[in-house]
Amino acid sequence: MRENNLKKISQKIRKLILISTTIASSGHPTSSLSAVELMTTLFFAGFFNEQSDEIIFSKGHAAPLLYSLYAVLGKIDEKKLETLRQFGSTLEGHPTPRFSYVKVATGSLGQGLSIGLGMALAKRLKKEKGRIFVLLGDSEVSEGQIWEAVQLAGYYKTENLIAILDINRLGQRGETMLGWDISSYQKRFESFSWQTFLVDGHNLDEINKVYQETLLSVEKKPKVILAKTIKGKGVSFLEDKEGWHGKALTQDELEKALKELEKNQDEENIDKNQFVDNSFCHHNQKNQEIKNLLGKLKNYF
Amino acid sequence: MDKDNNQKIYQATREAYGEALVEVGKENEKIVVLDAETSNSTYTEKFKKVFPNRFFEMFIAEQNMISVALGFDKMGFIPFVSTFSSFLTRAFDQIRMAQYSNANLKIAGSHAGVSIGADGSSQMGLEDLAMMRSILESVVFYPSDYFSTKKLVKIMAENQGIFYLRLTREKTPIIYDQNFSFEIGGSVVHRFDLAKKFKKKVLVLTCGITLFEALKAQNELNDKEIDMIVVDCYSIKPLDDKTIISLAKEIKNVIVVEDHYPYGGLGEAVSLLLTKNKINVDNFSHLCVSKIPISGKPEELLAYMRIDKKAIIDQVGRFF
Repeated sequence: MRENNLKKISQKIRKLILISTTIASSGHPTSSLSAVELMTTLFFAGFFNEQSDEIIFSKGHAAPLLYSLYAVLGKIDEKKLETLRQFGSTLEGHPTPRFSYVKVATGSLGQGLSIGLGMALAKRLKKEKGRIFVLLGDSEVSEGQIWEAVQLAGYYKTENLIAILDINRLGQRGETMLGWDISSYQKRFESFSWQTFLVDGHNLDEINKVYQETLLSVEKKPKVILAKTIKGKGVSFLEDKEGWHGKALTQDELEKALKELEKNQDEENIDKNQFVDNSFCHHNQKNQEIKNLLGKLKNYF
Repeated sequence: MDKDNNQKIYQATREAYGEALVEVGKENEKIVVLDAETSNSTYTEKFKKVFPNRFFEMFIAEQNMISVALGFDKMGFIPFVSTFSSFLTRAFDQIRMAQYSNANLKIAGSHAGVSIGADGSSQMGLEDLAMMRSILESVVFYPSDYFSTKKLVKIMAENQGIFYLRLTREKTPIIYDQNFSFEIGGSVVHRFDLAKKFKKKVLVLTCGITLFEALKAQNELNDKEIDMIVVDCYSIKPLDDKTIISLAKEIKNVIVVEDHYPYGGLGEAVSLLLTKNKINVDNFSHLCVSKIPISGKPEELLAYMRIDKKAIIDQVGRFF
């Protein structure tokens, strides 16, 4: 039942990502779609502790995913997603602390893991509990700074630092150097004394298990979850396709995509009591919001 | 500490930096220090010795160091980071991004300028002022002596924002009393009262290592009945607008001297200030590093770049 709910929330977040970027006429929907299950499970299955944990979207272009998560969490009004990337909105193209739930600006790739490492060391110095989660894109792992951080985290054995690597294979113009060669990523991280975990980044059951394993690990090492994912996941004509990076769907394409998502499931029956943390319950709304957004959307074309 | 024939005491500003960190570290336990494997050059090892838990060796990885410092900041600490000023430039993107996170970040760049001498061009920070001035809300300091450095470190610890402190390798004479006050947007005017009656007047705006060249020139020109007013512009950003404008209005012959490339340093800052305020001067000269540097002794390099005492006196000669 819980799995079922996570699936429904994931689909709802997918819709919000697609709708908000289409209203904005820009943004990175496909890069957001690949990490939906990873982030939905982190936030809605009780793994992320708002009081003590931190999350950094190092792949700042997944901002539509970030904002959609906070909308479904009920932290921001869903209608606010309509303002994505608009002048004056706190929902900027890439996240900045103007959005209250973000502490650091990201978008210049390769910096988030270092910031997370600083937070992890700071937490250790303060003798505070809690973890620092960093969502990394696979393309940004080409940045030298990533490996500076990986190396130093290994040296300092920051067991409270957890990187989640969204390996969707595709960068802006084509395939990354390693593609889906997960074992090479694994070897690289392990050679710098990290503990690695492998997961199918769209299988909710597996993701649940991998978070449990990661959080229960007693190894005094930084941890990385290497998630094999699909860029544009959930929409057949976007999945694993080149040429869609940083492109919003047209209205026609959006309607086609939403129909596909609708077909996959009826999202009316999200059972809010199934969520681990009840404060996370703000999703038992019907399709009304989506319809409202779509109505609004028409005005933009 | 070294003494010369005139019993002047010499101490490097980078050493003052290390000592000041210990002092502010005692007052505020939120202060943490990060260094990129240069702690015996930047003297942050002094802090490490007293507060080993609050010192973090970042090894030679400057980009990572700046972002790690930002992480410390966002968890409530006050990070001071340091390395050679030349190597900070490779972390410009990280510094640039930090401003969008409203960072409280204190950066110190040592071994600035050609005055490091023998190590050669690769080790000379000559673009650092331009880089750090370009951050929208940054504060940029370049102190000349031991006590001014210590005071400015204290100011950095007590004020929110991105601060840059430029440090010199060479030992420099201690010229300020330890009770002298320094501030953001401040300056110190060095002028001989008796020289005020001289008809020939020159205003020299400078900071850091070249302040001492200007003060030596001032002494010599005093004997030639030239009233040279030397301003220590230790606060490069913001500048002490009021003092500089009022002196430029009075003096009309202006020389800016700095151990930095022509672009983006003190010279351009002063030039913009005068233009914006419609101050028409008769003469404006910018003595700075305008050739590719080579190895040599510090004094040889200052002479080669024409930012030493002789170059200043020569320039004054061209005015009159």
